[in-house]
Amino acid sequence: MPTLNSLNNRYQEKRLTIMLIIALLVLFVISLMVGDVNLSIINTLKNISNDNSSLESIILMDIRLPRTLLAVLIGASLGLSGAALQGMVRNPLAEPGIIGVSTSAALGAVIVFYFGLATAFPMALPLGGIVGALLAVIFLYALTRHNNSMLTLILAGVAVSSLSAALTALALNLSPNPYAALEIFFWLMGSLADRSFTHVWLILPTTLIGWWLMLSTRHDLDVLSLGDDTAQSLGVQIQRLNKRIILGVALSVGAAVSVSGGIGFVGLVVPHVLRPYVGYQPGRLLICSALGGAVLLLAADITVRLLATQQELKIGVLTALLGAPFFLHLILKSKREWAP
Amino acid sequence: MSIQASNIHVTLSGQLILNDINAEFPPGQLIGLIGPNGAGKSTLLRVLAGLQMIQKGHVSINGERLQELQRIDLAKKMTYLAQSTECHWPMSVERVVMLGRHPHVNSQQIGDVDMEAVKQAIKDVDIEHLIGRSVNELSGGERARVMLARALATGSDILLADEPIVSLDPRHQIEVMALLRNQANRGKTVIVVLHELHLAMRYCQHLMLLDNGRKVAEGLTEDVLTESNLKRIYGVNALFGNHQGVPWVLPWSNEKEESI
Repeated sequence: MPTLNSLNNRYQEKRLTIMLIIALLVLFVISLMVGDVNLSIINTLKNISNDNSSLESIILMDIRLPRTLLAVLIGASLGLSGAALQGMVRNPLAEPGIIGVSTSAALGAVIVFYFGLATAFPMALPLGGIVGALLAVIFLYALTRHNNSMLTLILAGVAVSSLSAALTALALNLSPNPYAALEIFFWLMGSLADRSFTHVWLILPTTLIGWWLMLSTRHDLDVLSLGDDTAQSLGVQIQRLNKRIILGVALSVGAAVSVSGGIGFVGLVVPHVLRPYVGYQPGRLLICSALGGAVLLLAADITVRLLATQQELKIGVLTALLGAPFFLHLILKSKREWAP
Repeated sequence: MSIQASNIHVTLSGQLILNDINAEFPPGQLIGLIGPNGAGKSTLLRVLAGLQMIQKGHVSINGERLQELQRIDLAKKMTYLAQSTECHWPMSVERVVMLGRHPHVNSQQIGDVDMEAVKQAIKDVDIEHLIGRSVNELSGGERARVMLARALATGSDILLADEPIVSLDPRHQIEVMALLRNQANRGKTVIVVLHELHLAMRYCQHLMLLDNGRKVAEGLTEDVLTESNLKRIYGVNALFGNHQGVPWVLPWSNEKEESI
């Protein structure tokens, strides 16, 4: 009898996890050093221990560190949400950006901006994003519940995205202050520049709750691959699983978008690339995807800082430029694999 | 473990699918649910598995009502093998079979007992040669056997299977029916939805015949698969015979034309 090594041997998965963690740590350090002013980590750390107010330590602690932490948090949220959504709707094209969750989260945040709620009450910003994201995920779930074909999913995404984009445009259109409109417009493109620790603290709680909710479903997600009936008969409480993922995605992606603007395709590319290394099991994919998302977004953020463009390229623009062709490739490939 | 169904009524989109079904399924028996298309066999199986909303009645296992059991506890006692062999991701055969251990595996730590159960199930269903392959590359019949192995790997006392042999070749149909009978002989309660009357005659000890959501006959296989029942319910004339002391049946013609 051939051996069942693939079941016992978690070597491949462990190696992948360790490699992703190492990559994350390396990029973390690089991210702290790279920018308009190149810092030497050791010197800066020395400076910090001696004197808190040197320019280098201010750049490191108040600019680079929060930016790096945000890239990790937001990247992980996007990677994890993509993997969790794909597992839930059993479709490799489910991704917060494509299905309109990011756009509607952005709409929520724009409404908060527009009415000036954020200045009165800072938590309004992530809350606006979360409410927007939640509405989109619930709509998507309702539509794909009985029909998880790619067509339904993508059409639902088109509908949600178009509606949110239209409402966002309406807000910009009616804006009494053209500068505010321009600011919102640039913010929508997605960026991690000029963020501070305030932003980190603002999104940290909901982000972590969202992660916990999604990760708590990881054992059950594998079984869901066999269909609702079989999963239920194996002890999975489907309604509870769906609620957790919907809420988890809304909490973490809503919070992420409210701080960074729209950053698409991370949740599409990362799970797709990593899936073969975890035996295509959607539950096992979650942690790797979170790590992979953090690595990818951090690398993208370092890249936009290194690219010698006159104005810093928005990270959302970069991920879209790279992600959109990838999305097309996936559609063409899936068409062959899944088409009836 | 025995299952009791009492007074089961199921309505789906205004249509009465099951009408006052009462039954007791004892352990140690291979029990077939038979009947024409749309008789309500699969729905009854889903009811027994606790997967179907019922308007009236209840199902219990050893006197304990299904609603009072936690899903995960029910999953340890009872396995449901769906007709569909879908697997949404191209997982390998052994990973799919391992999913059958889900009710027992709380963390993703797989123990020796789980490995043993998976190995045995793979051996029983004769799919050793498929190990390492992706389930999505397999033929319908091969995938059906992988799903059966998945169901056996759970090792529960009750096995409910919805048309488990429908896409199999004759050899594997016979092997799977013999395997199910063997499970019953070991004391399990095995309930199978079937269309293959010849195999029902040969392997099932008890049959329940459904028509239009009602139970129309129930009992020992030979008492249910009679000439008059087949004519009345299925509308077919059948040939009956006996091979080395074992009775057989062959549906031969419909009522209108006697033969070709």
